Amino acid sequence: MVLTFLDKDDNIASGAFRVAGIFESNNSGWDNANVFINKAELNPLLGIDSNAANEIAILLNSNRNIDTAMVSLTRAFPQYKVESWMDISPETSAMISLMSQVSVVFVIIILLALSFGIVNTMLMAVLERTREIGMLLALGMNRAKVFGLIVFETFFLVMLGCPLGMLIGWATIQYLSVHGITLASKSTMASYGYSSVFHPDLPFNSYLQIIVLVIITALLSSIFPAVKALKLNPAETIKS
Amino acid sequence: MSNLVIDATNISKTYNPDTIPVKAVDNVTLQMQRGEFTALVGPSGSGKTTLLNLIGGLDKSDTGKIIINGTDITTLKPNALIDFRLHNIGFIFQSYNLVPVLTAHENVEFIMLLQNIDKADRDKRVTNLLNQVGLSDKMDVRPSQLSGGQQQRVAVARALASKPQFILADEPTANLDSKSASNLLDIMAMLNKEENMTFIFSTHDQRVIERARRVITLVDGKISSDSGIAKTQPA
Repeated sequence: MVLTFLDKDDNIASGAFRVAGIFESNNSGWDNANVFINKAELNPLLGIDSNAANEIAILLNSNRNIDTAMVSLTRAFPQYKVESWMDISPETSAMISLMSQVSVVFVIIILLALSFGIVNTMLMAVLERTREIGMLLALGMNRAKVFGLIVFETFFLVMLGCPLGMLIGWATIQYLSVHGITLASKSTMASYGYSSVFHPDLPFNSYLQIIVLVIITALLSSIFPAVKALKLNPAETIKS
Repeated sequence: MSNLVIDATNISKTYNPDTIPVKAVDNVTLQMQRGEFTALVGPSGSGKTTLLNLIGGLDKSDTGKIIINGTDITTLKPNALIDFRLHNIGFIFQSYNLVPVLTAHENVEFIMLLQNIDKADRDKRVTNLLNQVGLSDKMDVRPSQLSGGQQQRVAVARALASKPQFILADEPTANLDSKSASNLLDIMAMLNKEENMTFIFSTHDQRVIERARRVITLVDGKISSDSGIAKTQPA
């Protein structure tokens, strides 16, 4: 394979290389446009020192460490240009940001569905126990306690369902993170630059956020049935 | 201390005033003394239950005053009225209305929980009350495992638990067989006599009417006859 490129002084340089192997990643576009060559063989053709590099990529453990790492590197090597992956590939950054916003919309839709479910369940509970609630009001249970009764009942319902749901979700994600989800044929997904097998992962913080959001949604959803319960007229409900 | 427990003056209640008005209680005035054993009688639709609901603060009268033990309940705000009911009025309903998931003991105890009475006092009073109504062996039994008569006796114990000024009973024997009804009446008569507890019933039941020492007859929301309060003192 003959490769032609510009050297350090912008002269056209060429080199012939023997193909030692063909690699295949999950991104066929990238595979078609990239070759790997020994640095020791390439650098003399480029007219640069055998140890020199035009780019060093550093893989961090988390995106949250980017700012700190960039500050440290800029301070340590002021003569070099330090860029994050977001500076190099703003379109990827924009796509991830868009995906995050889409995820928020999905979470809102799911919480709305949860809210409707809770309102429906608790309204049914109030309707089924109209007579009992009317009796409690008649005997002297004050409105704050009746309101609290419905809200606490909702809370306990959620406290029963939420950990169970989280456990099932966690177990599913644990299984799929190992075995993955195959979405399409390898070549189809590779042409878009993706792996055909997805390995979902949900950080621990997300579980906590979901629990908090579910509890808040449940408590807010219980207000409507609780207010309905307060509006019951004990004289009418006892007769019913 | 005055013996006057209920002093209702010119009370009226009209349902559906804007569509098809139904005058359930029409300008009724009545007084009741402590220790009365009174039956409100009259045909269906005569206003017995409405009158009981008005006296019990479960419904608001359109006109008049209802003074219970010195407090005009028609002027009380909703929360104050609920609190007043809790401490002053006992209720017995036709369909018992016990909480199905609570035992007999818990059903009676429940009202004292609302009154913030401490556990030792609650337990002592529940035991005494269930003894009085002859259910000391059914303390831990749920309503579904009790007969109608037994459930109504639990309801009587519950009504007494809050130490009310008087007890309102809406057709308490309507769902009971004659033996259970007679047994229930014996218990209530005993409580009336021994504890000077005031009972006011709405009823169609001739057995209840015969046991009452005062009978008020309602027709079309008005008092058509009142046997008077002369016979109200316990024998």
